[in-house]
Amino acid sequence: MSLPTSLKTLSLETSAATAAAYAELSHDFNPLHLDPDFAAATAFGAPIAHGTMALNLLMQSIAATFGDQPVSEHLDIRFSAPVKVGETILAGGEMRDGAIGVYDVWVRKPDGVTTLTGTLQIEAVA
Amino acid sequence: MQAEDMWTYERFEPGQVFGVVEIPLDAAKRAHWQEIFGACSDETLPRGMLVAAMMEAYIRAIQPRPKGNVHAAQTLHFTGHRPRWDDTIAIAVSCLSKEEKKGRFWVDFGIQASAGDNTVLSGTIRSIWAQ
Repeated sequence: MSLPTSLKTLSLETSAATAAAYAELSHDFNPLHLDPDFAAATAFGAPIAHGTMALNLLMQSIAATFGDQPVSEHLDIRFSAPVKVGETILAGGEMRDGAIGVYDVWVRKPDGVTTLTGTLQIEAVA
Repeated sequence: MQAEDMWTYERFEPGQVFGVVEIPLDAAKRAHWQEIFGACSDETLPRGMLVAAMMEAYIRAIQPRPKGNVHAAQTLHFTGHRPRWDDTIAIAVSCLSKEEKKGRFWVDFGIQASAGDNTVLSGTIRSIWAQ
């Protein structure tokens, strides 16, 4: 299997509407994501996007890169910074070791702040 | 709600199984997915939808829970099996380990998701549990 040197970078503009849709999708109705008054009283000061919504943008980047190829994916990621609802995020990655199909992956804000980081290993499946 | 019903850090035990949650990947889920990420090109389920289903199972299986839990990290293995929209995913949730470190209460939860007889996703959700 031929592996690209980088993942396709995708972006997502978060909003109250995407937060509400993701709450329905994941059953995560934590007011920290949805309620400006509640969030204002926390250390974040404003609603923050669901962390796994950023992870899902990364999954979309992986899907856009590898398409229908028969692969399995192993992801090891950590969430490193919050994203305020309304901010834009970008997801992508670069090959670290082509011999074993390992990529460094990330989700960042346009100012360069990394909100999710980790590794992806791609393996061909029969 | 009784305070003693709340899932506190003290109640977690490695090996504990919280049950299996069935998540139908129905038209409503598809509409919410497309509202965020755009139209799906075919009937194959986006991998990310498994992540959202996993989170739903994790949230539904462990209730009531304190506010303020933090998702710290995840290790996820997606198999080669590709579920489709309208499939139902059965997701087992368990406690793998817990650890108090520097005043934080870390809990690792195990996830195993299946579509019929096929495992589609397994992994670990690492959380900092609120007190």
